[in-house]
Amino acid sequence: MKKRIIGMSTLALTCLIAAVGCGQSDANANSTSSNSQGATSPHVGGSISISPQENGPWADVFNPYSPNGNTSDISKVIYEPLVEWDSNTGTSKAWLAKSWTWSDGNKVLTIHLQPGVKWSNGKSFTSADVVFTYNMLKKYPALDSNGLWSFMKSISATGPDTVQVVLKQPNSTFFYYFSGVPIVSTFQFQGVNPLTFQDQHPIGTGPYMLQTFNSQQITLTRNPHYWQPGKPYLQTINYPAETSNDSTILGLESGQIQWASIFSPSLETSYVKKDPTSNHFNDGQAPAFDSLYVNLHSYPLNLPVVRKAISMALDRSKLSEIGESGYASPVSSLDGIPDSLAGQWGTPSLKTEFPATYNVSMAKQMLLKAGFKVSGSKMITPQGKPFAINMIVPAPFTDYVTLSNQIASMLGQIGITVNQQSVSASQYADDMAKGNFQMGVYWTPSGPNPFFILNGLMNTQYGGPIGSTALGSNYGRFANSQVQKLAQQFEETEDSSTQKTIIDQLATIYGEELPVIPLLDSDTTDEYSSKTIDGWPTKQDPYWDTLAYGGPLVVLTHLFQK
Amino acid sequence: MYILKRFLFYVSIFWAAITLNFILPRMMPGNAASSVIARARGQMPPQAIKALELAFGINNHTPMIKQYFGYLWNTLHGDFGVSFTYFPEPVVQVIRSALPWTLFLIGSSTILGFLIGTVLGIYSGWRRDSMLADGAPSLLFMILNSIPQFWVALVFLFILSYKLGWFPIAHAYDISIPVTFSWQFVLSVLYYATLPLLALVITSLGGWSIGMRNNLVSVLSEDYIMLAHMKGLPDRQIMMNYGARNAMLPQITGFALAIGGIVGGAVVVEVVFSYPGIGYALYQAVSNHDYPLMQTIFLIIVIAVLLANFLVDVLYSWLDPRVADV
Repeated sequence: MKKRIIGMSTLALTCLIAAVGCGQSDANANSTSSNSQGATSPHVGGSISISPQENGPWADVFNPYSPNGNTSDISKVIYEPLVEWDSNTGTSKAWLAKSWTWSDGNKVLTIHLQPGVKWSNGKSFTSADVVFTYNMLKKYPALDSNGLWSFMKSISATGPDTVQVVLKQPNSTFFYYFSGVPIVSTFQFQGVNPLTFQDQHPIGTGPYMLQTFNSQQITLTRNPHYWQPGKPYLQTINYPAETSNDSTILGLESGQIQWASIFSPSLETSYVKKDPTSNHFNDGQAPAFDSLYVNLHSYPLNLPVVRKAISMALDRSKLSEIGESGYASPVSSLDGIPDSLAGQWGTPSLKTEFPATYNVSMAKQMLLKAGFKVSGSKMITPQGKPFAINMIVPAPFTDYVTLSNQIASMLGQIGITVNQQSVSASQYADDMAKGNFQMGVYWTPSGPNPFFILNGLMNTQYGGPIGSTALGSNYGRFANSQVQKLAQQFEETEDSSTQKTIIDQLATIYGEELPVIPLLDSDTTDEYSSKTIDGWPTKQDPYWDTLAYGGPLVVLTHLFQK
Repeated sequence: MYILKRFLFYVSIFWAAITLNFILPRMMPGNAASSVIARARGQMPPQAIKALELAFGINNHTPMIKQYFGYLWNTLHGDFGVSFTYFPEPVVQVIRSALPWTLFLIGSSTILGFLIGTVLGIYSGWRRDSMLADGAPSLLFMILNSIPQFWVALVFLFILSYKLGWFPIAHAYDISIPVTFSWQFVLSVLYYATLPLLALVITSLGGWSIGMRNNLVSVLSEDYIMLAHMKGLPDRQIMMNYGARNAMLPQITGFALAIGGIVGGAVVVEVVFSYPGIGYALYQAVSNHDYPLMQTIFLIIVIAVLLANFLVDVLYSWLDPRVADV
């Protein structure tokens, strides 16, 4: 979930920095300490500098539908969705939608909008804008990245503040994707081609609006028409274009950047140690895994016992320690339910039934029992060939490179030869999607409940034939008719206790078949400073995730200058 | 006639270059849509790949030959399309914001490197028997010339920016200063350009200096130099008017070619210093499978290099008419 795409230069620089230690550069850390005393109640004023993630020079594009990483972080502060979702816990928070109800056997969704919402130019926001936005996705499938219109039949305004959506079939995953779409105004997007529209003067309902653009820094200012009374508090947000993690680290340490979501193994010590009361490092858990994908059309990886043996040969705590500096914790069970969602959706008996055990000799035994033979230090398959796997490794993702190296040497211990093949990030994603791989470390889909992961990894709908691009994460092409049946049942119900029973069944199939081998719980690493800015989520009041990217509307409407 | 022949030669080279320019990026495995998915690292649902392919107009089964002629047609009409990296910003807009930085940074470092290197080369060539004026500097220049640029850049960045904090670590100017033609802004641009400039000048200095020195040394053994000495001309006049002037010709050629290479930028130095020039844009274009941006940057480089070569040819036939007779 975090950004670890490090170019060759920054990679080398990081090594240099890591070798010497970052704690010694002594920028002006103490120069702003005068702000730390005095009244700390919310009031309008002040500013914050945010570097959500590594970003090249900014593009002059604020269209929230443009598929580039540059402005998705910023446009989503200007354009708001109906509902906000916490990335770590999957909890939802009503936003432009005040409330919503399902009727007609979960086929009709009625949404009541917040009254009194205005666009940043003072015009009123109405249900017509919402209807316009979704109809725009129908007209331009290139904008509909979640394929909403494969579920939707129609959308219409039934009042100035109410919108009605009719689905083709009930689908309980629909709302998550549907509600996250940024809503744009009719007056601005009508008559333009939303695909090529740059939107250099964005008008949204969000707490901030564009003040100045240049490719090195984007500045947003408070929207005076914002619908949440008195909010936001901070007057300006600066988004400097930090093209490398290193310049972000330096900015954080010198206090020029107050909020970032980047990964660096040294930040926990160097950044927090510099000012333990103000500098915070948050290692959050994301509802997804870093996983080992195997191609289920490739012998002998198509045998469940082989996948289980591979899983058992992996020392996950070592993988976490070496590959992810200990931030992403090793999975404790193989039921496909991440720890961050286990509180609400997990079942203790499943956790004990499918433990993520590490036992090299038992792994070897499992293979021998399944007809494999040992010749010297090599494992021979029942077909009489040496057990060798080609593994694709994404060269720019340094953490996945390390994980792959470790996995190769761990599997070597049970006599499996792993041939690593280094490829570009783009080719990696392409090979995974087309099924052109035998083995590779990759992320899983995520969502507000484990169904998004389990269904995403196992449903044939998300796989398709080898060689064609999978429209989902079933890269190994797992097929099980029971999964299809359960998925349909899940999609038809909005009742969470029924959903939990289905998730239990899916998790059982997952644990028994192990189509994808989970390694680590994905994590997010966020850094923020409370030296001049207050209102952050705390341990006592963890009201939201602290991710700086993806338009952190909830936290931004809480922050204020001390 | 000679000029016309050369011109036709360059036109065919140009065609070959833009054809390669079309073929090579398409041989890279992966595509722009999978690049976006990979870059998002799980922040984007995997099913988004379909929408991305639609948006970028890739994998739409247009025959390659049709794509090729479409590309030739668009290139000749100056239609470079929309960048994938900065989608939907037109490529022209991306280049327009990156090119000035590269012209400034690489241009000034090329000129500085050429001037300083050539002067030093004349000095050591003239006093070629002196250990201090020739031996030691020549060795130093040999070393400087063989150190890779990225290494010098990284060391500078690490020591002078990161450890000592004397220079900024990234950007082309102080982002808290508004972008206007104020003294403050100009000074900030110069300050931010110092380290990349230094890295480029230091690594290019050696080549110019060694080249000039060697040319001068061979010219100085000519008979007419001896004659000049015997006539009792002042040393300074012999060094500059008789020696350096004649030894300069290959240097000028080299310089013209280097000027052509300026637009290509110094990819590595721009990447190390996060300098928002053409080199950095090219790096991003390659890592994001941004064919339109990549093709346009290569096209500009090709045109600049060919133009520089053509000018050198013209200049040569004028300076040395024997060339045209061949």
